[in-house]
Amino acid sequence: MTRRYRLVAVCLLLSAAVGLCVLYATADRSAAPESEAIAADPGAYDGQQVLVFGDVVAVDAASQSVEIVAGTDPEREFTVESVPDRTIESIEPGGSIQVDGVLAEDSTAIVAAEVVVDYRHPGDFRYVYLTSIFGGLLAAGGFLWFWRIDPRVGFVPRGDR
Amino acid sequence: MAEWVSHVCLAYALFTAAGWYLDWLDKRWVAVGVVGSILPDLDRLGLLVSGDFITAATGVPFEWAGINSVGGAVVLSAIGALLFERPSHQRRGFLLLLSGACSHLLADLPQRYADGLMLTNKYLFPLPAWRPPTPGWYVSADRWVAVVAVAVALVVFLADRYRTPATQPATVERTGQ
Repeated sequence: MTRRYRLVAVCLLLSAAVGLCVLYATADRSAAPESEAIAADPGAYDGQQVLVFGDVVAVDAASQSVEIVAGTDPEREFTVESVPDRTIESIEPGGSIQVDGVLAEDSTAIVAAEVVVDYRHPGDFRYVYLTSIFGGLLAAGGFLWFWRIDPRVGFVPRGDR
Repeated sequence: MAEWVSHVCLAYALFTAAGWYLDWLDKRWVAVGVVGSILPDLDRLGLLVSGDFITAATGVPFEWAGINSVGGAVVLSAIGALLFERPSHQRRGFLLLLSGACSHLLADLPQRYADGLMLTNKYLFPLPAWRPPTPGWYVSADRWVAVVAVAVALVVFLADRYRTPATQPATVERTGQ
């Protein structure tokens, strides 16, 4: 394949990648309503079973409830109720949880049937980001050890390795 | 997502072990497969330029998560493959990048979700959104995942290093150069 064909093919595939992201955004891929849709119009889902991913704002052990913010545009606060003690003890503001439960109280609260803690506190986010950066450097380093990037022709094996 | 140390270590172990049975799959192709194992997480570009920002700026709905999927794995692997110079390298490059990307999607499947189902509705895109139950083995921030992945990679690294030369014709040939 000549260079020009490869360049055209790469451009077409990049458009395909963008197309995937657009199709994905317009596709309805989940049976239950999603965090973004609920945050945008919580009233529409009152009384329904929902799965919400949210960031922890406040934890109240006395009432077994957690304040979360879900959605990005707009963001909306929900009070997660009936959170198990063990979960309450493990999380702090700045963490991130998933709640499966029923939207109640004019869609301002979620009565939790199940809570999964993804990130207990900001330290968990730091751990995931730092290990990921390190892993990315390992992958890039390994690749560049064996391959050279020639701006004119692309990836070329290093002959001596 | 698991963090990238886990994805990279598992892919290294997988492709190094596969190389014991495939003569052409040497270290430089293992390195390509390892890069493939982080392709699906290129949707984290959304941390730099959010999908909402792109949607607002262009008026077209856009979610980076579209490439963290089977469809994304195929398209991104094809792009990566075309960046190799030689056609034979392009074919192998595609195979390794795609296998690496699939290893990533597979490793992400058994994570814990509050509704007890896998996130296959995302990962299978653009295939039908089907969600089987998840075993719920881990969440992203579980430290033991990286510990296990690094241990697996170490075992495979040592096994690879101390394999008897008789079963290692390709390496013998190379050291003889």
